[in-house]
Amino acid sequence: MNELIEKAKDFGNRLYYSFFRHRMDNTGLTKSKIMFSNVLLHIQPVKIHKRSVKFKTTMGLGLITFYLFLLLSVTGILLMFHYVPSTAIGPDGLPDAYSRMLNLRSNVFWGGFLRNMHRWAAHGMVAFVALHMLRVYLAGAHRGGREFNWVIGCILGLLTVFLSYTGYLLPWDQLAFWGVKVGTEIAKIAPGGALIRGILLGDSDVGSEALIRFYVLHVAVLPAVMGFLIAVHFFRIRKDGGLARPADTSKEKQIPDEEFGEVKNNSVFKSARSYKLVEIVKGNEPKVNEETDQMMFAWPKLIVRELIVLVGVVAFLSLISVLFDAPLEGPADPNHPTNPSKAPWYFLGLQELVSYHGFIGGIVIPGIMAGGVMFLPYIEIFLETFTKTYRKNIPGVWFARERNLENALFIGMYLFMLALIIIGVYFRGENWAIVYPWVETVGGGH
Amino acid sequence: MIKDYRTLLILAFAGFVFFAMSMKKATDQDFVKYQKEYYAELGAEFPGAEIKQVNVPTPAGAIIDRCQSCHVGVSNPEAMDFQLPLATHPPIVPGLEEDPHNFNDIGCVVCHDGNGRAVEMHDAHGEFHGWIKPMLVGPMAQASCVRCHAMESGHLAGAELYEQGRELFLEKACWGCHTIAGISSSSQAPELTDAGGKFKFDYLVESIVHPKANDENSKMPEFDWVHDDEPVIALATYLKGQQKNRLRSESTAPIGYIKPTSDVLRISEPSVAAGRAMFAGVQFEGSIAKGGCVNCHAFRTDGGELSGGHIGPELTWTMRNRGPEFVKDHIVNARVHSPDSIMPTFKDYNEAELDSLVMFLNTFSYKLGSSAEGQKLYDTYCVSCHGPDLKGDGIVSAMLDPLPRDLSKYQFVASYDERFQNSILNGVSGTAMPAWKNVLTEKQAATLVEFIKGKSLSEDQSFTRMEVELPMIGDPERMDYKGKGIVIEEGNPEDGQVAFQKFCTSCHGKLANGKGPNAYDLVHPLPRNLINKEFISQAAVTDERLYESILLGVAGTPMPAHDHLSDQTILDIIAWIRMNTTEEAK
Amino acid sequence: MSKEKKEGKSRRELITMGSAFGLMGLAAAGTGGALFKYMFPVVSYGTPQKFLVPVADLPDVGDELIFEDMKVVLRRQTATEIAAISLVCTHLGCTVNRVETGFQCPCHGSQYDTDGLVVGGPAPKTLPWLEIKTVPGGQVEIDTATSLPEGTFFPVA
Repeated sequence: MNELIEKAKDFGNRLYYSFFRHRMDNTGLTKSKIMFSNVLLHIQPVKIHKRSVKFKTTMGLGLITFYLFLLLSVTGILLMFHYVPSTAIGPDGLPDAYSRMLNLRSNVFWGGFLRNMHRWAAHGMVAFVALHMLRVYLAGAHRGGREFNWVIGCILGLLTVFLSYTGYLLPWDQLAFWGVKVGTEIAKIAPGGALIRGILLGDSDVGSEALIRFYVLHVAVLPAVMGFLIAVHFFRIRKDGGLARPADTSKEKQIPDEEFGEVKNNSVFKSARSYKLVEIVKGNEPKVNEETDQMMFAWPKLIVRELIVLVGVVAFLSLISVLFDAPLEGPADPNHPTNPSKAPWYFLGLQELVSYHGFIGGIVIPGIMAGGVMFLPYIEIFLETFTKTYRKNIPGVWFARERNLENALFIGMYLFMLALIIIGVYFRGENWAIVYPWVETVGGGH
Repeated sequence: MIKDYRTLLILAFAGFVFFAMSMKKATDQDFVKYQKEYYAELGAEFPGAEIKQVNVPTPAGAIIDRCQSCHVGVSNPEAMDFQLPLATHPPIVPGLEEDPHNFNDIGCVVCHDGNGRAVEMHDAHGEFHGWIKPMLVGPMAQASCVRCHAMESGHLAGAELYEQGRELFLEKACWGCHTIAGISSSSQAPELTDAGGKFKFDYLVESIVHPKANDENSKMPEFDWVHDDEPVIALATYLKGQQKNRLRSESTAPIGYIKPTSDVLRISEPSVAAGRAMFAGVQFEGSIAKGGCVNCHAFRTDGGELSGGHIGPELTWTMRNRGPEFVKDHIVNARVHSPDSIMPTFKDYNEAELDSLVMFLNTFSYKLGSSAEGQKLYDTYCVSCHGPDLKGDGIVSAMLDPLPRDLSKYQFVASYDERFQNSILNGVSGTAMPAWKNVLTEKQAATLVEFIKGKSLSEDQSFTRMEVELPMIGDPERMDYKGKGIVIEEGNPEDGQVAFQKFCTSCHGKLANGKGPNAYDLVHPLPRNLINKEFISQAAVTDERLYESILLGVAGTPMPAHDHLSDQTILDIIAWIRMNTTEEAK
Repeated sequence: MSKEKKEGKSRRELITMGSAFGLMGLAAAGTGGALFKYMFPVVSYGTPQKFLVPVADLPDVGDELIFEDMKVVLRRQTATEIAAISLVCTHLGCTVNRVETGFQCPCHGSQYDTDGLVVGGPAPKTLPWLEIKTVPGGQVEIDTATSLPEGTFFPVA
């Protein structure tokens, strides 16, 4: 009998070690092994700075953006099973792509919910990219060797907007058609815009060719590029020594170790320190002389915190998707423009600017903004070098006093765009005339 | 750590609840509820809900129809007394033992429109923003019969509303302006061959009742019968049925329609009775006489009462004023005589039909006695155009172009009263003002002129018009202030055109047709159409009159004085106007 | 911190963590189920799997009615018993012809008797008999996707 139990234990052990390459105890060695022997976890360091898991450090914005991307990928692939990028008009007078939307909310079980989720997650991702960027800038985390990662982040931001925009057309309803149409009209103003527009649309106007191109861009090209750049973005964060942080000082509030889970010391060196060799990354030498130890094992604290964000995002998105249905208007009709025709909200600021002056509003201001923001760290370096104001830039400090001017300008730009978007969304009515959302308009055409 | 796990637990719980909510929403679609109700009503065991889909075959593929997922009892006679949506569909073809329409084959959206793919009510009935095919409820669904049945000239049992609409389309003379392939051909107004495919039912109704609702510049008259719902719905049903996108071609249309006994009537033998029927657009010898003049034109019965529409001029005296040749030409193409008339062209009438109409119009004989007073004369002959207060706003005036003269403007009357007698007796060519010499005596005309003067002129409103003379070739130029000895030469049309484009187009338009950009801001009268040949080339419109009108303006109208133009320029402009309105010009 | 306190704390931690992961697992399983339903067809865009026949159109006693589009023969055994037999050959799916002796497949010569039992040729199985349901409104519904043993009759009013 005992023999049998022994054999069963042995079998169980062999089974366990075929899945995992580590034990499950509280030693530092195990905690390290868990992290680097798991394909999903090894992206993260074994040990991280305690500051990294504090809410105020990142507010989880980048992570939320990444989770939204994952959710969008999953729901997007599911939606692809029920979608055809075709404008062919069926015998009921509806384009194929549009009919598929109607199917999603009738005979396809859970189809409406998944579409809602995809839609709201897409809007959410654009918003969170913007917030993430704001956080990074205000915390000065775009400096100190991270300048190029900021550029990659900006490209990711543009890709997000473009992904959202290409997806906007796919339902092929009036909202989609005219939203995209207005967007491509804005593109015309740019020098060479007509060329880009032609390549994007595959025709002289938004039509069946545009739908297929937008579809391929949306489901294959852009996600692939995006996935690659996300990997680079994450990789560089690690190579830059984790999240941006100021130098440790003993003044910083010491967080009790037990808050981060117990670490059993089974090291022959009587110190957990030896494992910190893995911290030897560019620019950071082993901190042997430090008074206070601010580093901690990533397992389980960081992973649980990340899981909290994931579950929170999924839960919140589910709630939104249950409560609010994704918009769907009548099928796209190139002969009957909606009045007003509005681009998706993240382009409405641009549309608002264009309504004042095509070239200045559509090219000059947004061009300066996009280019300026993307190369902002380099502009800062340039100005600092040439004006010889070598400042002490402390990455990872919110609202550093030395950066007050830049921060104010950056916030000002955000508020400016936000104001334009709010005007575009709520205060523009027929023929792009100013309307007040609290005043009900009487009547209305067809 | 426990704090983190607690947060995770709370969020996981919330996520689970929201997931459950999404499941409930996905499972609780309307059709499930209705199918449960249906089997409960029947007292039968509920076999479990399922989406009942009909794939209606058409040449372009299948129409997806899931309506019977909720309307589960449409072909079950036992469900006759059930509430909607479970009830039996009433018979489509009345009087038949068994209805030939099988809902398992044709579904519901083929007739009723709406969103056939949906299984929830608001979604299915198209009650969301921008839906293109709102439900056709009840008899309005008759618009859809012709999507399968060949019926354009036939009779289909059960499609009475559609048939009524079709008759109205002819009777109300809609056909005069609107083309429906196979029924009428006219370029006067938007084609309606695909009206049902392009427009929603409500839009059609609105366009019939308020033609200007969607197009302010629409010239379509507001008919008075549109305030009655029944004919409007019938007509809209007919128009909704005009769809190019048919589910069956004419040749493969399901049988079951009865061959028509008669087509639209064409008259081969002229007669007063035929003319009367055409005029009224009513049945004659068993079928519709294509006409309907009475929808726009009124006439006076022998008792003197006005009867008919008020879109075009009253026709009581037309035969006497205009003569048969003019009337026939006018019916065939009204633009020959008045270029801005909105009257449809009835170019496919044959000679017998035109003669019938003329014969019928000749039967109008109402006339006043010779001793009638000015007021009485005016109220009989003039009032329908010039209005009771002489303001040119009579009941038929709105659609006339040019508008009837506003005779209440004392400046105008004081300036031009010597022309009135001639205008009354000989008419004003190119306008709706006919020559009255066959109806009115010279004395009566004089009485009318006196009447107008008496009404419009009073002692405290005096107006004296300057006298000018048309400069002759060789005369000294009026504007030659520096004494250069410039003399008037013959008007040069090319210079005239340049000057016209510079000084006149804001009102008279680049083409001189009176439709300049400012013309729509003017109320009464509108700028003169200067390429109206009939008007410009009549004897009364002399060069002197044109010169005077340009130089001094036209009193009592928005036409201002142009004394900043040199005499030569004015003569050039006149030359250009003359060139445009003479035959050789084009 | 005493040992008991520490243990109590770690047990609470374990329970909280366990229930959190349990709930997440449950939601994940539910999502899996939902996605299964998401992928599973509930309507057919081709020839429908089920079709309706009005009771009034059923064949007389001893007679048969062939539905060519649906590949089904409907047979009335007695006044109250009907059956439906699929006309799809169990060999390679050709449509069998009704002949005097039963059914014969034009493709590879499979032969069946009048009840669909194989009597010759390569056919491996009896022709499937189909399920018939009475539905409200005086109609019967034949489900071509079912496969019942030969001799399965259904009552009809």
